[in-house]
Amino acid sequence: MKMKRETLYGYLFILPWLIGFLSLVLYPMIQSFYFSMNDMRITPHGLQFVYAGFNNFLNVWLQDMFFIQELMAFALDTFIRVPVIVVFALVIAMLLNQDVRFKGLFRTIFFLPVIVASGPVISQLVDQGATAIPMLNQDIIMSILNALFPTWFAGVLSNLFNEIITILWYSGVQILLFLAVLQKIDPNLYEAAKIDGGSSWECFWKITLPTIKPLILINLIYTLVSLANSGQNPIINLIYANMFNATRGYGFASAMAWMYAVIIVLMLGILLLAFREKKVKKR
Amino acid sequence: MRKNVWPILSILLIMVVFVTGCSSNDSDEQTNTGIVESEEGSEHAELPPMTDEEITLTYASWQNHELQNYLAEQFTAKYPNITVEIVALEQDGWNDHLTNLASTGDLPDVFWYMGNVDIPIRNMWLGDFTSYFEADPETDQLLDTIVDKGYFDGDRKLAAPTAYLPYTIFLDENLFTQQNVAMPSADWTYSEMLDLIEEMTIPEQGIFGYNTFTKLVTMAPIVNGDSDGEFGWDGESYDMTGEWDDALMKHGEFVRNGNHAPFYDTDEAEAAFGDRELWAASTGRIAMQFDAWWTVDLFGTDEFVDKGIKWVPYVVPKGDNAQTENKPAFIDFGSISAATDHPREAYELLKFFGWGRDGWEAKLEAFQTLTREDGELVFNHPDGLPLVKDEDLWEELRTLLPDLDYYDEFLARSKYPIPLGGAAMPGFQTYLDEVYFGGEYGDVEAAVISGEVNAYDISSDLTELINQYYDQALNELFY
Repeated sequence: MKMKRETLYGYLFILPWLIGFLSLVLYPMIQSFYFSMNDMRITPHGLQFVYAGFNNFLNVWLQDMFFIQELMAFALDTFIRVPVIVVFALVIAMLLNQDVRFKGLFRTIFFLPVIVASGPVISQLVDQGATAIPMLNQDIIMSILNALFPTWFAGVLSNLFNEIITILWYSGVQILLFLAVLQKIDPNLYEAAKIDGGSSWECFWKITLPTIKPLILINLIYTLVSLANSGQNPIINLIYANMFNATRGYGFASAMAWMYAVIIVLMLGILLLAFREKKVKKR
Repeated sequence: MRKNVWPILSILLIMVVFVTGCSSNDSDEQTNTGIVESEEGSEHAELPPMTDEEITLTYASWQNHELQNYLAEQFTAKYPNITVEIVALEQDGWNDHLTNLASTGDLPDVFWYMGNVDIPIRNMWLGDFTSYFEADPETDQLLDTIVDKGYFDGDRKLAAPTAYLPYTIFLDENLFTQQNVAMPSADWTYSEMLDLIEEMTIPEQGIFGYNTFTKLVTMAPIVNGDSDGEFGWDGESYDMTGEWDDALMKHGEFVRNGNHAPFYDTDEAEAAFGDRELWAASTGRIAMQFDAWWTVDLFGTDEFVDKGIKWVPYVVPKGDNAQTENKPAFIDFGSISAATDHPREAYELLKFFGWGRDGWEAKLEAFQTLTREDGELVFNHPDGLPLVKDEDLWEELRTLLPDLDYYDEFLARSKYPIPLGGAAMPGFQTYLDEVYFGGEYGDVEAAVISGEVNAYDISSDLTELINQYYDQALNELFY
């Protein structure tokens, strides 16, 4: 069977991505899974493996007291942060979609952190306390939160305020995606709604939101994945620490990374179920 | 016929192998370990000769970079056929960097490991240099308390102390004079120190008895219990009952009673000093600062002198009923790579940069002569103390220190250092991570200080656990 010229071009175009995927994603994943099934030592004579079966996976849950603790903290953090980021991104996208002067400049400003704020930059900002809003008195916020919520939840909310600027910095790509879909909405729809006496509030709920719903799901997934991979994420740091831990090492750390990946996939699954498009039954 | 020949030949071969194996070569004294027996046939062996070939050895440590380069030059001057290549690594994440080098087969021929010996042992980085160490006449000159350190499995010398920075307790002489309290004797005891902490706590003047970087719980078992390591290590097992729990309870009491300075960056620090981020030792209101040798340099700077603070060094006091002069110390360890092609030469390099006499002569020279680009001396005071007993080295080092009797007294009582757990004891750091600072009680010390936990109630359990961790580490690390 002869391959069509278009098909060939298609493969050629995705070839760089394919090479990157195979060498930088698939191969490390297979390697990581192999590590996770072994007790691995990095000797000066080379890597040594002792087959450990699924012991490393078991030990992640049974031996590492921090993993479950950090996982719970991450789940709670994510539960709070993902909606905040997505809602903020939507609000900013709608503002940037207005016909205002210097629109391009504003769009650049909001996207800039995506390029500038790499892991080390964010770490420095957090360390220097530059991610909290200076005008907000954190102690007062904490005391109010403590009065209103249980300590464990107040702590999470307090962290949110402490790192609010960082969190909002995660919104660049989401803003871009929302902007793209907002520009696709036919202005005639709004015009017709206005003629029928619809307020801006009603237009948002009846026209904007239903139209952008698929993008909300994409943005939720994107935000969850970016938070899960963030250098600020304590679980990533825990995996790193275990890599170089004397009695655990790469095998244990790889097993932990795989377990973490499974948890993230489960969280993504929950998001998909919650925001999936419901098919309208035909009569 | 031919079949019958094979059994006869086999028997002959076995006999030849047996006889050869049992025979000794009287004319050649070289043994299979490379150690040459002396002519008298006594126990003293001699080190095998160094190679004459042109070789390059790689070396990684977190010593001052200028000092490393200087020592490398001096080593090459002594052994012109050996080039030393310094491997520059960031001190932060040191063991991680070594792991990365090992993974690519580039572990330096000679390296220091940081804090946790479990990492190099588990990954089989440590070369066995028992034969060289035991045949080396310079080994006899090592300070008595550190000779046996590095025999992790009891038989093989896998690491050796390479740098020695003693625990140092600084007393503010001016504050003592101001309060009309006599400075203690250089031979002060542990209980005298505790009494002084209480005596020098004067709440109405905002004066605190002590501030800690180094801790009572580390000192007490070593100086009071004559331990050979942290947490009551006696050479075979740990015992955290008796000294450790006493010291921690006492420290907790001192913190709660206000004998201890408020901790950094707390509301109490802000209330006491007007600045929550001000180091208590620079306030002029602390009688004793539990610290380490490297702070001598800082305490001699204008920042402290201008404030009227005169920190003078004391050794950790002796236990009231102690039999030894053991003192806790920050001791770094190094080893030769298990994969080095030149173990004999690598051993010599490790020794030269660490405890060797020639190396120390070079270091003393460097302390006095090395300058930066701006002409300033690299070292304002010696970076560490000798690991050997050679009196002339100690005397020369003394000349580089301020002209105060305190330094004479200090050096005279610093000859029995005891290394801290992580670098010297398998399983120790893992125990700290998983039990002591991250176990059932969270941070054990913090829990006791806050009064949530009574150290006497948990010291037996902790003892059992730390001994388990030690045994597990030995079993697992030498698999």
